[in-house]
Amino acid sequence: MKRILLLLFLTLAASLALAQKFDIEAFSDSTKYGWENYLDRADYREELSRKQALLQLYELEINSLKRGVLKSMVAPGWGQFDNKQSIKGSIFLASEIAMVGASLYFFDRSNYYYQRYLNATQVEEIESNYNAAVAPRQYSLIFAGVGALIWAYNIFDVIQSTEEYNARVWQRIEAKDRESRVRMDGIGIEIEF
Amino acid sequence: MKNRIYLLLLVLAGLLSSCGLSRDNPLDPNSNPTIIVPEIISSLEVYPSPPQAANKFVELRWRANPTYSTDGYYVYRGLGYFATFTIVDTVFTNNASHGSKPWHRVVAGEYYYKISAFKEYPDGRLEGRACQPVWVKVPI
Repeated sequence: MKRILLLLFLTLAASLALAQKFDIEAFSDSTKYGWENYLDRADYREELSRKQALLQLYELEINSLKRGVLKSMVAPGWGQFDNKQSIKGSIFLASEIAMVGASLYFFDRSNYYYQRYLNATQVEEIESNYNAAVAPRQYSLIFAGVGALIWAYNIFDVIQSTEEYNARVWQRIEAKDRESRVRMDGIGIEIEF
Repeated sequence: MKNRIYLLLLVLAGLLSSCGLSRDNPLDPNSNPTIIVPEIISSLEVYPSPPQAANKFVELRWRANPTYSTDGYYVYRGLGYFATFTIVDTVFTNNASHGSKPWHRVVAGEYYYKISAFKEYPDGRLEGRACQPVWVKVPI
């Protein structure tokens, strides 16, 4: 019991010794944001509200990362299509279909010979059918492995391409906003003359 | 996210490596050390029935295999050395007479005969390799 009390006392003493004082002057310093006067503050607020409006547009136009990953997990290339990268999406989709198709074809061939191996009663047939089943099974696994790699890379790629796409969306919205004299936001329409 | 992808790849690699072909045939001597493969028979001799014989036949004789590896023999017949051979008789001694049983059909012509030994196991009959085909001409 004494040990626990001593430990509590030491902890309290250490926390008091290490505690920082709340600096009310630093907290209330209005120049810390770079505002020298009321006009600076007003400009800053205007800029902030403009960016908030742009952010609303941005959020409407961006692609969700989670949704993109999910789509590409279901059908490789789907997420890339959403990111306006149809060539890349087509390549992913076609190569995945080719790999899965080749894998299934060789798996079927392997199964055909493997069934013959299981039913064989003659020693030469046992050996030849087993050997005939092994090679297609290996090809099937290789194609499945390559397909899995393409599938994984497609997910990795959709993460990157979605981030790039979203960055481009932000750049486009900002550029459009700079060029535009008419601004639309959640509050209303602003026209510059 | 990257860690998850690596984990996924590891799981896939594990799944793929566990998909090897297993030797599940109970008669496969490579998977079951108790299985003895019957030897190839040797010294096959083939004699046709004499000319003008009413019931034509082909007599076959060969050297018997050891009993621990062989329980019987299949007699094959084909129309050529590399042709498809068909089992025409199953015997349990080291000789056969093709034409002696009611379902045998032997007519004059040229044939190739070969023999393979088999061994009975609880899961079935394991047949060994057949010997080289031997030519015979059954006269008219």
